[in-house]
Amino acid sequence: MSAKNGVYGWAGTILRVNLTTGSITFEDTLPKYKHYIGGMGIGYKVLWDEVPMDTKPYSDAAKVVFGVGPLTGSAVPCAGRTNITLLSSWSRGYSIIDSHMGGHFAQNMKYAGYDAIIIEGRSETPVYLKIDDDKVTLEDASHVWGTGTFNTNKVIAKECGPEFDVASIGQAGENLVNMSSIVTSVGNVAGAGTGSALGYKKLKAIAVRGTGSVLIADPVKHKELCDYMLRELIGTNNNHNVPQNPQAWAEYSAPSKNRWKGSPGVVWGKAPNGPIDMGEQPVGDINRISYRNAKFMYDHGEIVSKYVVKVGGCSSCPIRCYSQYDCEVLTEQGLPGKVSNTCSPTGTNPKNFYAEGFKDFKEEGDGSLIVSLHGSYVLDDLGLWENYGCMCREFKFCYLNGIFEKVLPKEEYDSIPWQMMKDCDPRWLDDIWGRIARKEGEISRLGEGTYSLLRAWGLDDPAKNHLGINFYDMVDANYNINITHNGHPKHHGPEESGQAALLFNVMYNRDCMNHCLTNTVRSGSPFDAVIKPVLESYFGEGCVDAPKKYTPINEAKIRLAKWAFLEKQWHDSATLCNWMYPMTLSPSKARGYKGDLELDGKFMTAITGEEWTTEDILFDMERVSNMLRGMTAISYKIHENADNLRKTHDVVSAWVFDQDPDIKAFEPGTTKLDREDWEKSLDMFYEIMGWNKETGIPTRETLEKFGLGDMADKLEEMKLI
Amino acid sequence: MSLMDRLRKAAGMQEAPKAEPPMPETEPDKPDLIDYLESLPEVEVPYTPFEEDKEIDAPKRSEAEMLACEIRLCTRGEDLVSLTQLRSACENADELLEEMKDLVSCADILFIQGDQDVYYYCSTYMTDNYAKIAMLVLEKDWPRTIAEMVRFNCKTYPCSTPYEYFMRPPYLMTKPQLMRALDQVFRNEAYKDIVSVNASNGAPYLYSTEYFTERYGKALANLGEDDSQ
Repeated sequence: MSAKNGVYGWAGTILRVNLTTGSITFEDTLPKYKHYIGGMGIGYKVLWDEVPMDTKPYSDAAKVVFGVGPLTGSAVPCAGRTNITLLSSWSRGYSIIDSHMGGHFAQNMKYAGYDAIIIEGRSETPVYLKIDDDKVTLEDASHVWGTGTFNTNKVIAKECGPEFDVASIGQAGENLVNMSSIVTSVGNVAGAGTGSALGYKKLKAIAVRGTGSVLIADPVKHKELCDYMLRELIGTNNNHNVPQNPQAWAEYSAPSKNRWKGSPGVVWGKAPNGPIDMGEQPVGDINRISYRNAKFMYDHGEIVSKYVVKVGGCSSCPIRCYSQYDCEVLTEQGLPGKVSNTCSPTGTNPKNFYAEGFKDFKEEGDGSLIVSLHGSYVLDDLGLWENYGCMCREFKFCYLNGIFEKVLPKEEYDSIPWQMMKDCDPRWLDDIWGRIARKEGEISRLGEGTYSLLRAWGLDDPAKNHLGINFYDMVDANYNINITHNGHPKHHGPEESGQAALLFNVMYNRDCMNHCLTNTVRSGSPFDAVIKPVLESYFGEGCVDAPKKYTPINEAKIRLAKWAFLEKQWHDSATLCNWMYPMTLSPSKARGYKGDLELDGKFMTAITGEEWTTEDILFDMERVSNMLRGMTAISYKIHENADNLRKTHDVVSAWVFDQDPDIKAFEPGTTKLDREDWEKSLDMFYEIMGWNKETGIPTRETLEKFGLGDMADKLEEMKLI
Repeated sequence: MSLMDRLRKAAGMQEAPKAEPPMPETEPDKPDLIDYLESLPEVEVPYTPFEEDKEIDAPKRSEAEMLACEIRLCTRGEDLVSLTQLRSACENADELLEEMKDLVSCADILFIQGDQDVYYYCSTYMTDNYAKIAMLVLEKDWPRTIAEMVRFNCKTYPCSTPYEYFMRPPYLMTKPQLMRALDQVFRNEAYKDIVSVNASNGAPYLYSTEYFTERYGKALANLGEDDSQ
């Protein structure tokens, strides 16, 4: 069935593109994928059904699934993400992972009529996929192969037409650098090796234009819900619900760092007709929501205001988390001055590539800003990804600890223009990242990812490096943010939300990209008056601890952890921005600052015309979560010869328990956890998820509950259950 | 002169400068909008025409209620109105303020007592917490402001307060002002609970020993500096 046949919400069609044969085919989304919802759910179902887990990520048999969901393109606020599912080329186990990107690609894909695009096979020559509603063709991309993403997106948009949205890979992807990305719009990025996954297939870009629409079953109710969300529920970036600077209408503010930084006195200094003061943004004034977020301030401080043109954002998102700059300090050096970064500004990470510090350019303290702005451009243009900051921290660690002198051939070491780094030259990034993107020299191993890098340079074994360290366990948050020994870092982990955050951080095969808890605990709201009562009203007493005052695990925390785990799958299936959802809190004092966790079910009902509750949604997402777990177990068996996830995949880095050695866990002032308490947490989490307590693998009973009997059969065949 | 103008004058505020019209951009010739509209065919107006000469029954407000309206207007501009300003602008201000207390229609007009004056605001547009901050800013007793806000932040959120908090709106202290004020805080017995601590990255913070231990104050300072994306 398709949207033309009156399907509400879903576009109704899945596009399949075989790059080997050139065939382009169409399938119905429903009913097959209904209870996988969309996005991540469709991706997991496709990979499970069609890609054996021993498939090499860089192989013709590997598939990459771009997915959106029934909420995408429906004008639901913050529903503009594209999810991309693939096999990991870089994290331990080489198992299933997701990436996602914002921008406008998802809307166009949906309006063109597709819930998913399955990329399979491999082209012999560089091509790009052109999707013009139902006219889908493979076009020659040899003229842009070897060029950066900004050039590629511009050239292809010019060829196809300005209404087309283009997502492309850069040289990093072309050269099969694991730490690679896909870039769309002005810097919306999908990382996690998506670039090289397409690069192997010689798919340089996808250009899409959609002139259709999303059918809404109950448009009156849908509009009511959108208005309700904007008036009463939505905060700003990360759904932070109190302004950082005191505002007259607001009872609370956030003295330390939060994301609601728009306020009187915060200025877009380079706005076209003169500086624009962001002013106050009272709750209820839906036309001022977009002025709440001043991410440029969060990233760089006031020093950057003079370069800010405006804030921008993804389709149907009022948050406008991008910052867009025009920096003459860069143009004066012959470098691109109009740069942008999104909510996750990889541009701030270049600071670690200047291991010896910064020098001033035009004013005191602007060195790190200038290199960061240039870094935003270079990283995205090369289509390079940095594993949520790991690559940059690894670089700085290796530089300062003499690792490079040990592992790089002397000739290579001498060829690297270290003086550029010391001089704080922005072009240092072009050089060093260019080497990584082109796989030049041993130093380019930084682009392989943490797991491969640490193993190759002996940094994961105290006996193999002169420092006597296992990097994964090292207690030094400046360099080591790994949460396990699997090659990916924490993403708002135990340092913010204790055991609950650690539990879901551990479950994935990349950094978890889960903001369900951080959005609440770091919102700036008072703990006793708001955060605690709101969360306890949903999950029970004791579900959340005061900041840096942790307590032992309990049932309520386990419920919280499970909910946060399933919610992330929902966001990536719906698709919704998981920096924004869920609407746990509200900026409205009249609501007691409590959000509405039933909102998502209400949206699904209004859009699809079928009755959906949050419970229904989370049930389907528990299906997807069990698929993640089952496929991870299979991957670990194949690649690690492991039949126990608890003792391999879920083993947590020692620093989590060993930091702050002069204080015990659960004393005020530390976020260190207790090993015994962690084992108990795992027991309880596995139990609530229906997984074997010894192995952490889903039981047959659990899998069959979700219609995954075939996965149970496979696990049994492999003697994993 | 309107009450607003008198209030401004009393506050020593200058008249708001008239906004300069934007420079017209050079554009290719475009049809005149009025000409275009006049060229369109007439359509039936579905609405009852507005009767320009008709007298509108505006709600009759007492003098006290009108004063309340002016206070509301100031609050919408994020400002408190001091009793001194009101007395300067209005001879019988005290009498009107007393009358307001008994009027249901003025129940949203509240006041906060400062050291130097009494300040009025409208609770519809300004919270009590913000009124407290606005009062402290107006009175410019910076040591008191620092001590009270640090204690408030420790008790309420809880969080340690970065030095730079006081350089942000609405405080807007300059760095020299802040350092002088901190010097006074640290030397004043009344503020002996206010302690400075550096986060791990060197950023200076303040906390109150009435609420935090040193370890906890520093731990929250570190949390405040965590800029995870």
